Amino acid sequence: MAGAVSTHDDWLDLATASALIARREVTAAALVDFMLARIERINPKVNAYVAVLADAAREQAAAADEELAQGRWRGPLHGVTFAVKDLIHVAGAPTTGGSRTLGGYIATRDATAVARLRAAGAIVLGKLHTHELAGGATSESELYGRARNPWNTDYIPGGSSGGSAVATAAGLVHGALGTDTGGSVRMPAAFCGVVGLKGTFGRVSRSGVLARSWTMDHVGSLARTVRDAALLFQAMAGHDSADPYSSPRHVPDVMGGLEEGVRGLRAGVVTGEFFESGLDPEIGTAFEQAVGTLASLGVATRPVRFDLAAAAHAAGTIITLAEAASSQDEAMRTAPHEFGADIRAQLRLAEFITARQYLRALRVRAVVQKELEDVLRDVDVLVTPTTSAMPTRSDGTTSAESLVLFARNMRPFSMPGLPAISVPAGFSAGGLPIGLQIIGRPFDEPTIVRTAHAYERATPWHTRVPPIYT
Amino acid sequence: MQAVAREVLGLDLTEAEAAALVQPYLGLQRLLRTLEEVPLPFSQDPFISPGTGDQWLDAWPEP
Repeated sequence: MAGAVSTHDDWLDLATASALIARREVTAAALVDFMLARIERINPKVNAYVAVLADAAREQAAAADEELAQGRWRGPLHGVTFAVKDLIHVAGAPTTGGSRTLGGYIATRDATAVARLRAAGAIVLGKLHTHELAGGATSESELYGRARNPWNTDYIPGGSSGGSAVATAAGLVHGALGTDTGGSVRMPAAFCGVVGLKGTFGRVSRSGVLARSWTMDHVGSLARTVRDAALLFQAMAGHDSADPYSSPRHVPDVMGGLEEGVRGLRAGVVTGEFFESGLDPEIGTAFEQAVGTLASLGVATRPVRFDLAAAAHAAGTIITLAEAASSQDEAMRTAPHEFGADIRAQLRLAEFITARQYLRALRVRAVVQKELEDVLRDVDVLVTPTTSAMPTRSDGTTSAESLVLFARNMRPFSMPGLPAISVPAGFSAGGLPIGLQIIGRPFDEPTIVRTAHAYERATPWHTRVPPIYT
Repeated sequence: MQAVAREVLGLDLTEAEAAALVQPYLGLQRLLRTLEEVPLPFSQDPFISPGTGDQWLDAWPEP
């Protein structure tokens, strides 16, 4: 093998690793061994992986190297590593959803998203911690224990895709898959200082993914850079007849315009009491600076109102609760004690939602979409802080108020199905990361990716690594 | 909390179960009240077919 990969200084982002593999300066086998060694050393401190598929990963790496030796290069994911939230099928591995209700279940096939990444040459390293059934933001689990924020292991990493964000931030993988119903990719990405991208609803197939809320669930990607997250998204996106909500639309090239810059782009800075009350002052300051950075890059920023944001948040919450309860109906009737206490209470709470109220929430969605249509007529993207509060301590005491502040800036936009990305945008005085959310028009992922990339290039945040990294 | 759970929810729960359910239930009611305040087109004109927004993305013009 040319080029040793042996110390933390050798950790490479996905795109860099990909280029080295393509030039055969590093082998996939060496990269996989490097990652497995890091996982063995660091994972016990952060609890990101719940299953490491070492043997299978080494086999895939050997096959990837053999293909390259024969002159076959599958593209920019050839030989790089990814890992998967344990809500998503990987053939031959358990899918627990972080729940005892699925104990002993072994997936017999890959989820479509996983299969597409494999087909693009990427190598699966393992399964990642999830808040039980994607039903919470703390990644504190009765089955797995607590996933830890790599920037300060006393703090939560966010959720529900907590393990995906932790593994990415701690340098235990090049990129990860998560799911996002009301912010579960973007929030942990923000809390752990990495990029979290979810496309338009229907862009990435959910076939082989445990459902939480089937009218709002998305599969998304997490990575250290915007480019890396976009590379994963590009390979996963596209119609899949196995998911009834999958969009048949052509998937645009999100990478092609990455370096075009953002001069002349119009960004709406979402204002109003809903977004401003209770906002952590450090997040507010970081957000103002981020908007200033976008302006300095040539983006025309102006305040916009989203008057139905509170209604959107309420409708999204009601729809999620009702659909989650429906998804778990049988288990809740036959073995409610198998659920963790918080999820059991959540599912029980959902039983108080009537059919009329659920349908009203769906109809409110249509009204919200009409307002957003008007808002998005005059701007190309919307921006908000990803979360309104900083991560809390991981001691089981996160309050209901904090949970609302974590999610409220995201759910109003994912409920109607808009694409969104969270990109690192600073740090608190205590050294915990802060995220900037960029939201786009339906099916316009290239614009949010381009905006996030331009912002990332203009700021130093993505270059920092957590103390645990070494 | 047990008494509140009995009165508000009609459930006989342990104190721990009641504590886990009553405050979220009150939060749920606040969310439902927020929804009730949104005027719906069909309520204003019953000759408009109610929509639930699931065709909105399909109808969005290509970027």
